[in-house]
Amino acid sequence: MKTRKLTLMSILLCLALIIFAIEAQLPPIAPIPGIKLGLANVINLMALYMLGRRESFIILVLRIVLSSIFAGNFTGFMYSISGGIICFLFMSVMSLFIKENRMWVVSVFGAIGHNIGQIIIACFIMETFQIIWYLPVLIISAIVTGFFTGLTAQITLKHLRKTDIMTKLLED
Amino acid sequence: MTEFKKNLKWALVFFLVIVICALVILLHNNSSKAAKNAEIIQNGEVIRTVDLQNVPEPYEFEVISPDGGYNTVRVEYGKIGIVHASCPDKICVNQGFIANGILPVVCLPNKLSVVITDDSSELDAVAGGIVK
Repeated sequence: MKTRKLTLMSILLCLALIIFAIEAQLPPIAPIPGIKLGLANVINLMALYMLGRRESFIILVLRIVLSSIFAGNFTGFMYSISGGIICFLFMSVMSLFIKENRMWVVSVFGAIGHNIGQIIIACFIMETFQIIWYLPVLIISAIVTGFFTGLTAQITLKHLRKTDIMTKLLED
Repeated sequence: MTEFKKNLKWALVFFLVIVICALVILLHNNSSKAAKNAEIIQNGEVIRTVDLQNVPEPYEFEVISPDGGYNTVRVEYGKIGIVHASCPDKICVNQGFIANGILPVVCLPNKLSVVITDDSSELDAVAGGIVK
């Protein structure tokens, strides 16, 4: 792994952690558990298109582990990791078909996947299967929040491509 | 133009998904009858069943979780909710009172959920059977 790539991954991980920490301080936007913006996914989405699936997955797992160590508990870790992994699976499959100029679509699929993962683990932890009825509500919220986070990543990456970070990265 | 059309195509797909989800919520909403019983579920076990039709006077009780957290549940005629909680986010409190079986009140940090069950509703009976 080239130093430039490793540095870029570290910066992205750091950004994801900062975004995650700031978002955790915001009050919940709706009185239903599980609804949040998911801004940290902007970084994963960007890493997926800038660096690749493997790199994006490393950043995702490290971000979840580190944020759980700093500010979470084991239950929170279980919710994050299950949501994160299913989100990643959805996004990496969709990114095969969808180009960078329509990243928001990939983001919406990722957000839906994240919520499905969290519902599944919530069913296991709470052992209450009625929680499944949150799913339609969460899917609607995922489409809305996924659209905005995806658009953020799409526009950021579009401008980042113009800088020499990307051209130098491709030379490696 | 074709780029715009492709974006529009996906927007339509997601719009349809939203409509379907909204329909599912509405149908589930209509299928649930008047609130009869409420179950307080902690760690997957029903620790208390409350009759919501027989509440001469509103009352409250506390549920202590094994790790020391607490939730105060308030019962009124036909509805139930959590009014105080030790958890930091207070999502369960902000959810307010529920009067039907659409969505349970859940407190993820204390692993507590308050579910309205209705014996005449087939769907809830099935879900309740799995819980027990």
